[in-house]
This record gives sequence, structure tokens and C-alpha cells, in this order.
Amino acid sequence: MMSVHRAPSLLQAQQWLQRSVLAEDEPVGADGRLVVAGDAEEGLRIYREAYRLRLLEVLRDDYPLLHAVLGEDAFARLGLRYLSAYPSRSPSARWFGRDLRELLADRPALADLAGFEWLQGECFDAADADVVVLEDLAGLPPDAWPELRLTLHPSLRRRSGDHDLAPLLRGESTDEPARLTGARTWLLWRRQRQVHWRLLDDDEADALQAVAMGAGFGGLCERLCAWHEPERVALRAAALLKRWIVDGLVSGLRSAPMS
Amino acid sequence: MVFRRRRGQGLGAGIEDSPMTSKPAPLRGFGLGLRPPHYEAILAGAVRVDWFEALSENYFVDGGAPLYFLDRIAERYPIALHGVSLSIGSADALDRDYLRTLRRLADRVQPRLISDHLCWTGVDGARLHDLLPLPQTEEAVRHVAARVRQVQDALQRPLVLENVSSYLRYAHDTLPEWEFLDAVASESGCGLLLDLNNVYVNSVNHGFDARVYVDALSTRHVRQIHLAGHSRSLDGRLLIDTHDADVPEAVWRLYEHALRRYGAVPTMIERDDHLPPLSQLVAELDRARAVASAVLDRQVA
Ligand SMILES: [Fe+2]
Repeated sequence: MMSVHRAPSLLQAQQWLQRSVLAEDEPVGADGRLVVAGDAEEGLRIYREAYRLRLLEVLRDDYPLLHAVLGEDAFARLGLRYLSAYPSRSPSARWFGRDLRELLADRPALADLAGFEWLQGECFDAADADVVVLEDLAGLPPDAWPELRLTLHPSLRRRSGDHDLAPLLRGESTDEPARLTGARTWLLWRRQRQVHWRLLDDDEADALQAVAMGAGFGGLCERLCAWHEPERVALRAAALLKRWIVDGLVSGLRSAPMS
Repeated sequence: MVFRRRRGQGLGAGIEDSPMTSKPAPLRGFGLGLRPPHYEAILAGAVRVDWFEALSENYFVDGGAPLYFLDRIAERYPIALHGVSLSIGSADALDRDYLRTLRRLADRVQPRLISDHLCWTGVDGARLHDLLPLPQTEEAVRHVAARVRQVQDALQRPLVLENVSSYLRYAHDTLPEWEFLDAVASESGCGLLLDLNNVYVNSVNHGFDARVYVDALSTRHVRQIHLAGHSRSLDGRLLIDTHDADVPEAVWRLYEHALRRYGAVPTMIERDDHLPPLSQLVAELDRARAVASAVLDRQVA
């Protein structure tokens, strides 16, 4: 059949095909000019399906535990809602899933889990850095300690939440996480290319927060005064510092210049 | 800083080299796609693979395991970088952040070749993460050619483009696919990565003779060959480029035909899903070596 229409521009052709892939109900050759040759229905079905399957797979990789808790069908429904609400605009699908927890506002336990799993991904491929060892503290003169500042490893992430994710993270359960009696802080960091996690004690969470905000060892001790009797503070501060260094959380030490 | 050996220069002194202007050494022989489940096996011992093709976007990260393994594998094997998100044919402007990130990665691993696909992946800022077909028109040839030159300037390296599988065609196409591909290469100066599985898939989906396609391309454009497997659509009428199976016999026959026409071209097997152990892919690659020597030795004789 002869066409009386002018050929569409590259932009028009792409806008039409994209609309047809994104919206299931967009008819083929919508405006009568952008007609596709051959069996367009079947071809379009392949692109539509591939688009959805590919991005669902990205979400499944980013959120394996959420997938386990919800099961395949509910996870796919969530994923498709997400795909409509937050379509990808980044060339790497690595960032596509970052807002998934926004769709879980009515399921706080799952939102908590999704928030944690996203940070796990951030931790996995965050920047590399050397870590300090305990020996690096050895030569430090006593009067340098109060101003001693720590640079935390770039992979370190903290997240506060009020659900018990531990059984899921340990692979002991796929039940929806139970509510904790109060909010707790999870610490994630990378060591030897593996992501590690632990639940922080409340005083440690507070202390680490102070350090992350730039407090020196003196400031850290001050913060711990809110949690401990004065005579125990120095001991606790030293124990925390030692653990952080041994765990590989600290990638730099610096002390303010002597006055 | 980690000391990184430059490849493609013999030992000895005095060859001035800078990543800004160096022409990478050519890729030779038979390679495999680099897939994370194989990292440990690749580093565990000598593997009968001449080079690995890494998916560029998998390494657009700041650190951790992906870059750790890529760096170590790049110390032992030549690397080709293969991207899926350049979107060279999109009506949108080129993504400058993407090009900067790719340039940084290329400076880091010093690839022998950088490729992406002759396609578009989204328009008006959207990203569909798929290799969508371009209208096969003069307009698209000019559009792509102009952008190839911008990409090569940004990367300071040559770009190679791969033909894609497709499941529909535009009614306003004016060129057959092989003329479209050849015209893009001629007009832009880019090389071609000829995926013979994609040629075969399209020959079934759009009804043409795959050998006509292979015969029509200028030999000088073809820099690399992909071999892969495919599957059939639900209704059985279309072939889908799924990279989830062994290379089928029809693609092996097309490979023989391509070798007779192009001579020796660096060839690799692409496998993404149902990933078998590395040893099985190395065995499949041995078949490619055997096919190539049978065809090329006969030509010499
Ligand atoms: Fe390919």
C-alpha cells in the first residue's frame, strides 16, 4: 500500500517505540504515520516483556532477602509498580532500584529490610581505602590523643531501624522481620571484598556518629559520658577504638598539630 | 598507587606512551566474555583464552570486588571493553558523564578495543536498558556517524559498533541492515563488531539470507566477531538473542562463511545466562579455533 505520509524523524520514531514499550496499551503505529513493518505485535511483545523482565531481575539481585520474604509473585507486583513510578534514567542499571523502599511505606518492616539491602549494595562497591592497624597508634604521644581524629572507611554505612533483620540476614528465616522494642543502628562495612554487618550497642552507635561528624578522641569520650560512669569512659572509648581498627573500619588517623 | 604494567609494548626502553594518544595494540585470537562467577577460576591458573571482554558498565563503580578482579585479570590478559548504554543512535544528546566514566575505566585497564552497539537505549531522558533498533535510514547514518566522532574524541580511542538482534522493523526503513551497518562504518570511521548470532537471528526474524549480509560488509571494517546462542519466542516465529545456550550449528556454519570472507578476525563467545563452568566455554572456544584453522589453513594451501 502506498503511504501518503512523510517519514517520521528519528526523534518521532524513537518516542513512539519507547511509548509502545513502556505502556502496554499503546497501539502499534499509534498516530497512523509510525507504522512498523511485518508482525509488529509479536515484536513489540518481546520488547515489552524483555524490558520488564530485565529490570525485575535487577531488583531481585539488589533485594534478594526482600524477594525471599515476599515470594516471586508479590515481589514482581511490587517491582512492576516501581517500574512505572520510578522508571530508570541512569545509563547503568546499578542505580535503578535505589528508591524501592518508597513504595513500602505501609509495610515498615519491609521498608527497613529494603533500606538495609540497598546499603549492602552501596557498601559492596564503594571506594577502596587502606586500613590502619593498632601499631599505628603506638607512637602517638599522650597529649595528641584528645585531638586524634579517625577517617572512617569509605564503605562504612550506618542505618537505624526498628525491626529485627538478623534472622533473615543469617539465613535462619524468611519471615517478615519482627518489631524491636526500640530503634537500633546497623553497621555495614566491607572487608576483603565482603560486606560485613553487625548491630551496634546504643553507646557505640552514638560514639560512631560523633566520630563520623568529625569528633576527636576527646569528643568521643565526652559523648560516652552520657552512657557510662566517668571512671569507665576512657576504658570503653579505648575498647571501641581498638575494635574499630581491628575490624577494618578506620582508614586514617590524624592528630591536630601541636600547639 | 598500584603500578600497572602497560601491555602491547615489548620489553626494552624508549617507547613514549601516554593514554591520551596511544593506539592500543590489536586484539588477536580467541576470547570470552568476562563474567563474575568465573573470576576465581580465571585467576586460579592459566586458562586457554587469549583475551577477555568485560562489560564496561559493570565496572562503573568506585571500588570493591568488581574492580579488584578486573585489575588482576587485566594484568594477565588483554581486555576489550564492551558497553551496552552508550545509546549512540538516540535522538538525545550524548551522555557526557557516561563518556567521562568510560574514559576513566579505559585509562585504568588500557583496553585493546572499546565497543558498544549500533542501537539506542532510550529517549527524552528515559533508559530502557535494552538495545533498541534504529530506523535504517540515511538520517540515522548521518546522526550516528557524527556522534561516533564525538565519542572517539571524548575517549581518545577508536570505537567499534556491534550489530544488534531485532524483533521489529520500521516501515520507513530505506536501507537493508547490511548497507546501514556498512554506511555507518564508512561514514564515521568506526570499526564493526559483527555478531554472527545477531545476523542469524535477524535473518530468520526479517527473512533474508545471512550470507548475503556477511558478503555485503567491507572486510576492512570488521574488527571482532561475537558467537552466541539464542532461543525461540513463545509462538515460535521469532528468534530471541538470549545468550543462554551453546552456539548453534547454523551460527557455526555462518562463522565458516565469515572466515572465508574476512580471514582471521578476533572471535569470542558470549554467554550470559545458564552460565556453564569456565572449562566448558573454553572447550566451545576450542571449537572456534578449530573451525578457524580449518578454514584459514585451507585458504593458505
Ligand atoms: Fe554480541
